[in-house]
Amino acid sequence: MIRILQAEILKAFARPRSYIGLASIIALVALIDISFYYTGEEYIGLLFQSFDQVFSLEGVLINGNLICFIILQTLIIQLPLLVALVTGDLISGESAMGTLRYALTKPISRFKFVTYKWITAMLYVLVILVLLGIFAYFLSLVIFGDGDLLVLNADGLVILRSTDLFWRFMASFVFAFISLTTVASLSLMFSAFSDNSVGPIVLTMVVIIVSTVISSFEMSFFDPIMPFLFTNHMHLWRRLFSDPIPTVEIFQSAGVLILHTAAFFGITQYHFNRKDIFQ
Amino acid sequence: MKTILKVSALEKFYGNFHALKGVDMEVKSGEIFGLLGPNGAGKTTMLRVLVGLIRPTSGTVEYFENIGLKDIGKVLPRIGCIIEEPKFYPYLTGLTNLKVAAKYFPNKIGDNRVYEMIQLVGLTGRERDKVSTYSQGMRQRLGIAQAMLNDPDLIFLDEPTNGLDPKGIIELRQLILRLKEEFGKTVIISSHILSEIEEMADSMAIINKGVCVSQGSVSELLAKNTVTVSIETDDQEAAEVVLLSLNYKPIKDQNTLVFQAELNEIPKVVDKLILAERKIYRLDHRRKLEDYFLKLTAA
Repeated sequence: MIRILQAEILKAFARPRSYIGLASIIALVALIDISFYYTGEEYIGLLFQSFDQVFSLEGVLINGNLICFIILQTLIIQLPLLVALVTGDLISGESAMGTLRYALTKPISRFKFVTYKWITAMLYVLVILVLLGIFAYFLSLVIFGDGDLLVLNADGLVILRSTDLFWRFMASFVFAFISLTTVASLSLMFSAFSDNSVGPIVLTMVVIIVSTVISSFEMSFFDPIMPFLFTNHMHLWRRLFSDPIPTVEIFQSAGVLILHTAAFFGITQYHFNRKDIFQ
Repeated sequence: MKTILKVSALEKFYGNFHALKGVDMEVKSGEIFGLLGPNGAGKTTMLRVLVGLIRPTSGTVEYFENIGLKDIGKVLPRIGCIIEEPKFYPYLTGLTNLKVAAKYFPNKIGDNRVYEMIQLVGLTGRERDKVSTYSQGMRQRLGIAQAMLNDPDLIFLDEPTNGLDPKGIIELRQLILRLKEEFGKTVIISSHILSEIEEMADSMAIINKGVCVSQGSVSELLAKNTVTVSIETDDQEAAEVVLLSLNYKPIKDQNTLVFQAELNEIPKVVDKLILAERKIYRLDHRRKLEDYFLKLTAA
């Protein structure tokens, strides 16, 4: 069965659009690194201006860990779009090209077809995150060096020792993988319902934007649905940079995201197995 | 000959639209079977059902004498198809497209087989070019190569000559005939072009508005039909008398007498003219299957 996976990977990664996301990540990370290299002190000064009256910060604040943290904060918002650009096209793209009917007249069950598409989507998410890890974490460490990380979160300012950061970053990448897996599964589900490439990508973004907007409203009216909005759980990676880490909350969020992924995958299978293929 | 495909009372609704209305059809092993009908008759719907892309509303399909539509998974390794125009990944080469298709089969299809098929369809030398650079004819041939990859027993070709130039049509027809004659394949071709079916098929079914209006061997269907006979003899007036005595209604057209007759009656006409001591300089006939097809499909 590895041969079918090879075929799916070849089809997905031979498309120029698959590299838009990857190229964007490299370009954005490079731009952020360059801008911090030249104007980082100024930016950090502005960022911590409000603390000047309370205490003074000494030492080198700009280091690879801080740059990586800032890159993650910035890109985590954009990554779902880059993921959906490819995963939203995996089935509907074949439909639009007219190749779906050829793939499905080969001896592969529809269940397996969708499963291999889903695995391909997961691999794409993995590639994006590995690339982000290499460029955002390792490259930033090479350029700006190691150091302690100052994180400003809801509880206040947290200082994390450099020796305590590697595993936190790796854990945040794992959490980002779980989050993006949910996004990829959502766009793949839309992809199974659509015969054009654009629809699933736009729909995925609409769902994410609407859910994020609802999440940002702190109104009791939305309270009953808040725990079920997957976008509400996607930003939980930041809590890995808290002290102490709210482990239960993070695991609960990961669980909610995994449940969403399972639901999206199930709906995709149910629909696709019953769908008449015209394209 | 064994029955390779048997379709019984096949129905398909798309919402309220009744696309297939109880179609019955039987295809024998080793023959080229033509599915003839005007555009929108239900031919592609029929083929889509037969290759498992859409589910019928009711009816049964039996492949290879004992496999039903529910076990389409057992059928797919033994069939090849082109449904509508052949589509490929345009950003991949013809060779890579075939290699990708080969990976979907449970029994490993090696590179040798892929190159063999490229050679069979005459794409050697262009296999490393991207499909986006291929002409329609080359895509059709690549389509046949992918349909043949698994050495199928049964091949479905939906309007295979669509969009081809006359040279491409002739080449493709020759290739399809080779599939039957050299490789012993059973081929089901759908077409709205009567001459195409006449030239290639052994048997055919005429489908119109979702109904199978006629089915049989092409020679039988042709034999059934009236032909227009043109005859030139040494004495046209005497020949006219003979034809009138046989209840034909000949029309004089310059030096030729033209009349309608059943194909199998022509030898009898010739005998009578010879008995009347007429010398026949020329006799030809034009088939009227087109009229028959139009009559059946006009209803």
